[in-house]
Amino acid sequence: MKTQVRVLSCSIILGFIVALLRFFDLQLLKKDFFTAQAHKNVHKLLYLAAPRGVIFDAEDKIIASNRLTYCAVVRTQYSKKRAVVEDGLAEARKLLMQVGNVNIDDINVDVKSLAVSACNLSLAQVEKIHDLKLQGINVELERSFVREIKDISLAHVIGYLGQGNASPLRKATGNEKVGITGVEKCLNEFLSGIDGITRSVVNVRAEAVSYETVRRPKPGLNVKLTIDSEWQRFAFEAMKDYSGAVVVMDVNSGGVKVLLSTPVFDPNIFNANRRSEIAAVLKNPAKPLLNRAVNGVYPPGSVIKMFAALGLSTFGKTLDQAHCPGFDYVAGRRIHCHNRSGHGNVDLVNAIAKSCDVYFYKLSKLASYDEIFSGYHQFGFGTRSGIDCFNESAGILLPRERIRHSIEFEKAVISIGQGAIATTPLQVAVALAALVNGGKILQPRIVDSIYASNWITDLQFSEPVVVRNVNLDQHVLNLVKKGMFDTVNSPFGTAFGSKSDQVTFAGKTGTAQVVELRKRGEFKSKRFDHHAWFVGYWPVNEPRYVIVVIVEHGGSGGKAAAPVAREIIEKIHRATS
Amino acid sequence: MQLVNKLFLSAFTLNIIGLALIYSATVDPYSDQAVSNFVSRQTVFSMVGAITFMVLATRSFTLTAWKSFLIGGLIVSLFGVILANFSEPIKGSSRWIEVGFLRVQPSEFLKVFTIGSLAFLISAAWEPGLKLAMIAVISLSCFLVVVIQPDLGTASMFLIYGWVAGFLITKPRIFILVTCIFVFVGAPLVWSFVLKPYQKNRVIALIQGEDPMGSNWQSTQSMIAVGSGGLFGKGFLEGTQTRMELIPERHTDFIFAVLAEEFGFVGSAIVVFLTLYVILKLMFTEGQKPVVYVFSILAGVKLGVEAGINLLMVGGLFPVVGVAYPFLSYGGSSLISNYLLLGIFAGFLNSSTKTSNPG
Repeated sequence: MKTQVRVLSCSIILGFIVALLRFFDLQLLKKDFFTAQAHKNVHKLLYLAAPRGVIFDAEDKIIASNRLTYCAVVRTQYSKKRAVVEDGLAEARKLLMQVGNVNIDDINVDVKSLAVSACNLSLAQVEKIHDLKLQGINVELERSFVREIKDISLAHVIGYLGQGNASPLRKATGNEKVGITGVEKCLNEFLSGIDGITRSVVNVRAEAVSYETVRRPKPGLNVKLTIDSEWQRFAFEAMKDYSGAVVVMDVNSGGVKVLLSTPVFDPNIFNANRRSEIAAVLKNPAKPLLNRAVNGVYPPGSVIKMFAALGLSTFGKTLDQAHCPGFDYVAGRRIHCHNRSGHGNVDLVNAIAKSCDVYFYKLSKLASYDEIFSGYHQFGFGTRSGIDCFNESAGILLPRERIRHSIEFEKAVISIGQGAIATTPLQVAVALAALVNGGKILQPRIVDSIYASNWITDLQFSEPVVVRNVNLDQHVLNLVKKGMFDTVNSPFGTAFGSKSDQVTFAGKTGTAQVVELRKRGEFKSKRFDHHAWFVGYWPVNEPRYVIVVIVEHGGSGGKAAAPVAREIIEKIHRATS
Repeated sequence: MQLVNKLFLSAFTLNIIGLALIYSATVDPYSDQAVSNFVSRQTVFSMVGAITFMVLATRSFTLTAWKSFLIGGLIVSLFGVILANFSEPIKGSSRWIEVGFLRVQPSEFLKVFTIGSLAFLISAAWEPGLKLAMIAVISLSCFLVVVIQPDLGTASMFLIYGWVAGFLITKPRIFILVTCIFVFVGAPLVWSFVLKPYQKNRVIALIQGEDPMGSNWQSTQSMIAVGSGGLFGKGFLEGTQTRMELIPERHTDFIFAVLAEEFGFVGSAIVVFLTLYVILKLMFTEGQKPVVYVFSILAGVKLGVEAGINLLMVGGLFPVVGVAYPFLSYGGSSLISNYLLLGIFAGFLNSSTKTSNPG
């Protein structure tokens, strides 16, 4: 039996030696690797929120800032049973609501990370919640910043924040915010700071017992916009009761001074993640989130007439005079002027001031569809303006091959801004600026500069960017300008009712059909009323600004949009002189 | 010092070290309790175990009386295992029976009584063929009743005891050759028909290595705990991995990971050598009656296999099977049955020195 005992004991000893060698390998040769692994297991990284960059308007007024708030996270124990975890979380949520007097909307429950978190807490609330620690409840507190926008007329310009791709901890506190729309989105990489990191050692209950700062939080960069918040406010006051948009642009730099879309919404409810109010905004049938200034696509109606005349003049197609009996025959069909009793003999000046349709029907007969198309296209219609922010729409300008019905008929319709053309208010502003600045199609800009953290200007965008130059026929241009002046300032002009005795401005009204006239009888609802346009510029002699106003379903441009434009122009004039 | 005293003192030392490690693994600094329930329960188990040892060690039964005691124990514990098979499963396995407020794992006691019975069987003056058949019957039936609990780790022990018993009474070379043939034929069959998917996954994970959150999770965490211990360890109660509940079963099957993390390679080696001392002392007790000699060999093999597999498992070299480290791991049935094993051995020595009656 001795042999067997020797074999058996040797096998056992061999097993023990293998085990000891393994321990030697793990504990002495690979110690560093496993120590690092162990470190990862017990050391938890906490993030210190960095404030987002402040946004300034053109006059260096703060239009978006940060409010310091606190977040509290209560964690529950892990359990294999989901129901147990959910019960624990429900208990924690009740506690936060009772002790901290936290609004139920502000509480986030995340089953996966075993955490209930509440943000937007005041210091007083935080102190009360902190006392829960004395009762042995695992509470983590974290600073966080909530974006604050005081003037909601800037809602679409600044935009709002939402949840980004957050790490689990950040998710639990709902802190990592990224810009979802507006400047917050397009300048997110500059505006968002770099969160600081604190490494903490956790004890058996996963509570932090000591901290060590790994990286200090770095605030985001500050940004200056071309928007003038006071002017924006004027526009908002004038447009409050309407749904529509206002764009005011500097004709020399392309800087956008006003970019308003109504109805507005309160971006603060998104920034603070107030869920029930967010749901109400999303459900609102008036679509307040739509930025009508850059994403609203409307038939331009009569405001296109200047560009029809100027565009065709580049092909040598002009019309000195036309007779308007109130209608015209195009491709065998009789189509009306908006004035059914007719304008009599009209030249280009009158055709614009009185907005005679028949003049343009006749003008369009002189040209091919492609010439009309190119005329519009060179003013930027049908293509994105290239504004440095916003996900703008390109509008519509259909090429010849996509016209399915009579080309002759479409030529007449498109020359008065209906049919195969639709534009955003911003596109109209860019085209109009080219009309008064000598043919320069500018890239509109909303960002003036981005500051480095040391307040030395880092990036400045003051140089105008000229996309292309349009060759304007000086004679036609003068007539067009005269027509736009008469529109507002002559008794026969369509916007004479909005003539201002404080500031002289020129402009053009537009009334865009939502549905074809002959179908209108079927739609009595306000939803099918015409969109009212007014586009203008001032000062008349040396134009500096263009204004574009659209009032959705406002009726005629002269009655609905021109008074809005006058109110805005007058207020801006008073504020600047 | 007498052999029995040396064995008892070594085992008792392991037991005390185990208590300290269980304290470290389960202490809750926020609780009002100074020690956890695990520590107080294990303390009671230790006392019951030590008393069991002393009672048995001071008896001077005849070997016939021991034979009846051991075979009786075998039958009782076999019934216990069968009874346990009908109990409510805990963690998916029906290993325990409730006796009053106590929870007993009969398969642990079955191991001791099987070893005792096998010792008598081997030293009986029977035909070798008949003996082999009986060994096969006993070990296979024990294997079967335990494996259906399911508890493959414990069940496999009976196959090992049977194998060792066969090895002891045959020509070593021929037996090992036959074993090799059996393994080559049997292993694929076991893989296809016996192992459950989770068990296969553990084996595959072990062979493939890194798989931190999968089947190998326990092994990985255990290796982190062991490796981060270093030469001298992090110190008593300073282990971060084992105390942070990162290792499941850290107070039972993975208690050695707590030792390795807190006391390092030095502490681990000391405990390994102490265990090896007990095992080798048992295996080399020559000059005794055949039954006592065989029993001590089997007892040494039992402790050696359990400790060895446990060490390899903690070191990540063996799949995770529920095998406790003798005298160190938390668990009343395992601890008391190991004291019972030593007690029977001590009792045997008494009877063999005081009777001249051949067994």
